[in-house]
Amino acid sequence: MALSHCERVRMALNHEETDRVPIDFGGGPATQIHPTAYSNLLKYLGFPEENLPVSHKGKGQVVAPSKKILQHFDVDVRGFYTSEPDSSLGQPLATNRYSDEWGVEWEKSDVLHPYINVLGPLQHIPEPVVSDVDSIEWPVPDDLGRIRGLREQILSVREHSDYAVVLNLPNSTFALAQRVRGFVETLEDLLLNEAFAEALQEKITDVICGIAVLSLNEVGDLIDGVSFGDDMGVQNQSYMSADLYKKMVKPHHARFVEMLHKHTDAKVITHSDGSIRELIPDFIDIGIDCINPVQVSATGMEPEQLNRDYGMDLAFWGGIDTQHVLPFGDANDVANAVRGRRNDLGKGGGFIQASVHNLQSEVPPENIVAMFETAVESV
Amino acid sequence: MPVFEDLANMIISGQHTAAAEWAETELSSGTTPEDIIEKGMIPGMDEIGRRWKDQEIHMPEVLIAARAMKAAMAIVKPQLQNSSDTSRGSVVIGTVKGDLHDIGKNLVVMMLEGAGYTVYDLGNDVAPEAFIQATEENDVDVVAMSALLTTTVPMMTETIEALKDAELRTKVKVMIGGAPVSDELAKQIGADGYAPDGASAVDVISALVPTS
Repeated sequence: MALSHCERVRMALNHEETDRVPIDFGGGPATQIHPTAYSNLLKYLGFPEENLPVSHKGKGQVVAPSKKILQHFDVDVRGFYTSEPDSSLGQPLATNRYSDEWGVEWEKSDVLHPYINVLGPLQHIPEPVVSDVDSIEWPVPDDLGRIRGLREQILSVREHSDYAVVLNLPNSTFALAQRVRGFVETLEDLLLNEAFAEALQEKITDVICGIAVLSLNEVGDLIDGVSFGDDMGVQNQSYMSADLYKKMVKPHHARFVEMLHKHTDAKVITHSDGSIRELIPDFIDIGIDCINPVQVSATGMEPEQLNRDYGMDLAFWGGIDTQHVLPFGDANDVANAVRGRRNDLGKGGGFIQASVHNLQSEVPPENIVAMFETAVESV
Repeated sequence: MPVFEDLANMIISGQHTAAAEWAETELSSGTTPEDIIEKGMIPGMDEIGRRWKDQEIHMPEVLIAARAMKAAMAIVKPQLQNSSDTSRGSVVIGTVKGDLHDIGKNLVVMMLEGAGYTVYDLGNDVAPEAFIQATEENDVDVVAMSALLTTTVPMMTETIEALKDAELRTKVKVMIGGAPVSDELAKQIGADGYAPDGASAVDVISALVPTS
């Protein structure tokens, strides 16, 4: 008997084999699709144009696929987000530039491309001291705007369908530290200015714990997964050694994850791009249940070895390459990748399939269709 | 007699204040800026490059070493009689038009400067015309481009085409880098070299530009 969508995802997160690999499309901020690729997909499928709202903020320039598309591909997951606070400090700054509630400025080169963060409020202090952390305004965690309507939205899915539900929280400690203080500066501070690095991360963790508690008190009983993003890897290695991670960042991640588990029974999913193999034992140690996106094109992220070494303790969410296969391969290459992941990451359960990152504008619709149709084929 | 190894070790361990002070003291006691660069700074950054390539160290260690190298360079550079005498070659670098992701490119810049190259860093979102202008205005050996977005990769081809149209392609080598880029792509679009990371970029460029 076929499983319900929700059962399929729950079982996968519990490392149980399922009737087919559960699939995600648009259930999180990094499994969505560029509007151009989406429009091409609709045309290819013979569906009418949809004019969905384009998310322009954060790493935006993406749309979340419509219900119709999710049903067409039999996608198992539905994702939800906290909203902007009522009293956000963020504001538009210029064409293609805005600041967010953390005082971080974002810019994009033109309409086709995503925003990236270009300036943080503590970035230009040459040798910051601990008290500089309190020199800027911080977001108010328990602003009710963040959760307005969230429970109703999730309840509606729960009452009218059997999909698995994931709550996507805003980014976590290290990503936010890097935005507020600067990418390079944050990494340097870990070695040259420990006291400041510690104080900055402590402050940020206070704020995000507050946001998470507010959100989980509202919907923690309704969700199957709670997800947060904190990139810790580049293409060929993690941002820092496991020793430096243990000393400087892990305690903050541990506090955050412990708090998540305390406020929900849902599985804790973390998103980190890049090569993070060195840090995975620590992720497991602090109670992370599942990692996304499993960037299989990065060094040390070979799926078979990952599942062999960590598959007992960790579930995998993602796995379909967006650096080579989806944009530059053909439908056959994509189908082979999907079958490959079913056999390596999916072996023994514990795998939810998704693209490694948002599908960019040039990804052909044939490849997108192949990714989902191969996933649900009978084996 | 200066112990250049001390400066190299200060750079390797990221002691920027000590590195700058060392350079200052040595300059005032008559050590030439050329010797400080060639015998202290470059060996220090070479060792960092090796350790990084071998995955012995990660970005934080590389970044603080580069910072120490820059601190010493800021003291030494004004004293150079003719900076081109110590330069191993010159590189124009930027992320291609449409791509604002410059972290990888900045690491390449650091490693190239540390290895003794003159770098004209055009920043991010660099149009083909800007690459051409910088190539025309400077005595450039290599044009280096990077892209992170798969969407902006075609801009590398456009930039190479623009270099051909400006009759500059035969005068410079072209190197590409970035996550979606590969050796295969480099060959396909007519680039001369590809480097997967900041540490290898130095090796690739030193192979492309023979030191005179």
